[in-house]
Amino acid sequence: MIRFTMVFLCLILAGAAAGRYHAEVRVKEKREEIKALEQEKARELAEIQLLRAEIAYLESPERLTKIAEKITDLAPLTGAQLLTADDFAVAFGREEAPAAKPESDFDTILHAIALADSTAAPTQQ
Amino acid sequence: MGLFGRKNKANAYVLEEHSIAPSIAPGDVAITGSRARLVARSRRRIAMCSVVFAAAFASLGIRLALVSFHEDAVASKSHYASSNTTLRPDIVDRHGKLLATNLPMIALEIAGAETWDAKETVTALSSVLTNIDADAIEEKLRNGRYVEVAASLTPSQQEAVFNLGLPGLRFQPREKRYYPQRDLAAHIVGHTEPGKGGVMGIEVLANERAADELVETSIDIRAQQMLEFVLADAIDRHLAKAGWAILMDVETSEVIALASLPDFDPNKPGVAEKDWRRNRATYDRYELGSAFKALTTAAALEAGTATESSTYEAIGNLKIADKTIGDFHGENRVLTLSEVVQHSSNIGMAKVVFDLGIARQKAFLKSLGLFDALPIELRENRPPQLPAQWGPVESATISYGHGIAITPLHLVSAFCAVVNGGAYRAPTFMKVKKPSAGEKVFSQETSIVMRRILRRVITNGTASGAEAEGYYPIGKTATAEKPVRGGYDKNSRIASFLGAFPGYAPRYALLVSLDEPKSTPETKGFATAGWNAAPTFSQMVERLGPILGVMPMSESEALAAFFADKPIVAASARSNSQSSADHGTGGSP
Repeated sequence: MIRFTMVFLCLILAGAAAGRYHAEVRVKEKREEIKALEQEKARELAEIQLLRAEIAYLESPERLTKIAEKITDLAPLTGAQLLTADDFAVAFGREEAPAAKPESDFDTILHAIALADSTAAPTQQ
Repeated sequence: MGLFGRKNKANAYVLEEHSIAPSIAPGDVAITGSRARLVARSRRRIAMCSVVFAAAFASLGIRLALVSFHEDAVASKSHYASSNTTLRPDIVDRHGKLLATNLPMIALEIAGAETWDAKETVTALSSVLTNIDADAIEEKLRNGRYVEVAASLTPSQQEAVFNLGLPGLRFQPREKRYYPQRDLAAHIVGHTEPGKGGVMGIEVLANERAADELVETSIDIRAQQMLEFVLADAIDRHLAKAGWAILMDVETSEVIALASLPDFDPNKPGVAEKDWRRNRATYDRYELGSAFKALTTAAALEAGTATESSTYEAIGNLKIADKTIGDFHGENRVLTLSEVVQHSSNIGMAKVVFDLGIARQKAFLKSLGLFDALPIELRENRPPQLPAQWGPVESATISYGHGIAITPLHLVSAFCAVVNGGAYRAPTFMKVKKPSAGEKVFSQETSIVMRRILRRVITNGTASGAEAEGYYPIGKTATAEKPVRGGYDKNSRIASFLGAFPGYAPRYALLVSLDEPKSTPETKGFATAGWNAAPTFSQMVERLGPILGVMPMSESEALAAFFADKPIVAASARSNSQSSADHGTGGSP
């Protein structure tokens, strides 16, 4: 009985040792894989960071302005060049909607005064 | 007893030849002689084996536990270290455009003690890296010193150096702070110094932020570029010493753009003169002149001591104690409150503030944040310089912007409250997700009247040059003589225009200042704000409109809005503007 127990325990021990060896080898392999992946990830992140910085520089408004001035005749956009969709439709033939009537006579007078103010000869300091 | 002996089993006593016989219970067996010795030896062996097995299983168990838990932790720690080497957070504008980031770099170092031939090493390196100081490096290598050859190698340079196969080479990973927008928004973003981290601007704030936390500023880099471009042009054309401009959202007090020229490249801060690195718009204090009249007028309207049509005699000069106050372009007649602002009458404004009273004047200015340093995110920030005593003379001069020195940012923040319906909010350089209600300083009615008065400054007053088609801007000129010992220098001025657009429903406030502009043929010999700062403001508004998505409005609609009892917000303008601010869609209609 004792001999059987001893043999049984030896087998278990040998199995456990073999299992452990196998586990350690696999862990080592996985760890190396992780390390390689981490290095790959770090490289990719570094490259992404470089690309982001490069894009930011290439899209810099200051740089684009200089290039536009150098190779095109385009002038900066101003508000006067903006059109609403309705303005655009009118410009291409749709009839303009009639102007809304002023709400009251009081408003009409105020508008007229304001208009007179704004069209008076301006002075410059 | 056996290793796995059962209870109640008969005991076998092993008796040595000379041992004293134990008391043996009935049913037990006593063994003697050589057989007894054999049994005793076997028991000892079994006990020893048991100890060995127990130790082996224990070591296996412990090792498995270590493999399962501890080494996983080590592995995850190394993962963290390798993938998260960045120490500072990125700084971006309100649309996510990169303003500051970290670039991974490889530095090349050589251990002098490990090199075989210093001359051969340096010659080989020079064939790849052309800009190294070969003689100095060779000298250091000969002395066995550790030398940094290059602080940042490109990947191709690294490969070329590696292929040289020289002994003693070290490639050290480093990080470099990089500002892709270069000098754009340099005073806001700031810069870092080796070993100190951020030393200026938002970079100081970034010192306290985690590396993976994005610092989202309120800046719109396109508006910033436009502001700097037009301002630089104005400085050149008007031969000014310097200039600054601030664009602020009147509803949130976010600083959308801030230019302080001359400026510097934060990638090479040491190259610029120290004076260029000073943020004139948030740190320097100036007596900013007549733009203050907008604040005084709003205070008088709010307090009820004046109305839009109140009249003031602005004839000749006004003497207060030992001081005489005069007008730059005296109208020499009775002026309405609106005309006092339109024609920038110092005499009229002094009379407005007499009616208001010193206590109320101080209370209004305090509630507009003009008595304290602004709680902004930049270190470059100072409290206003207030007069030592605040008597009738000081009250009068402060009413038109002299005798009190504030930063330009103070002035713009206070002006926002005048035109936005009356709410004061402290300015910020961070993107605001949900604006605060602010502190109500003026009523909606006061704000509407002020918009009308400030519109007339452009249509009938001192600033016809500030007009911008479709945006009907409002604002006030300010030509302030610079203080010198014992008075003011009449030939040294700061010319400013402080305004907002679109005037009928202000969305953005804009201050433009030129430091010591000169008269030129273009300005017909004048160097006042109406001739230099006002046209610069106009140019900026015309170009900012499309960038910020503010649609121009027809004249009739705009006039109706100026005279409405409640603020009229053009739906198209507001929605476009909001859309641009939130999503950066630009100014397409």
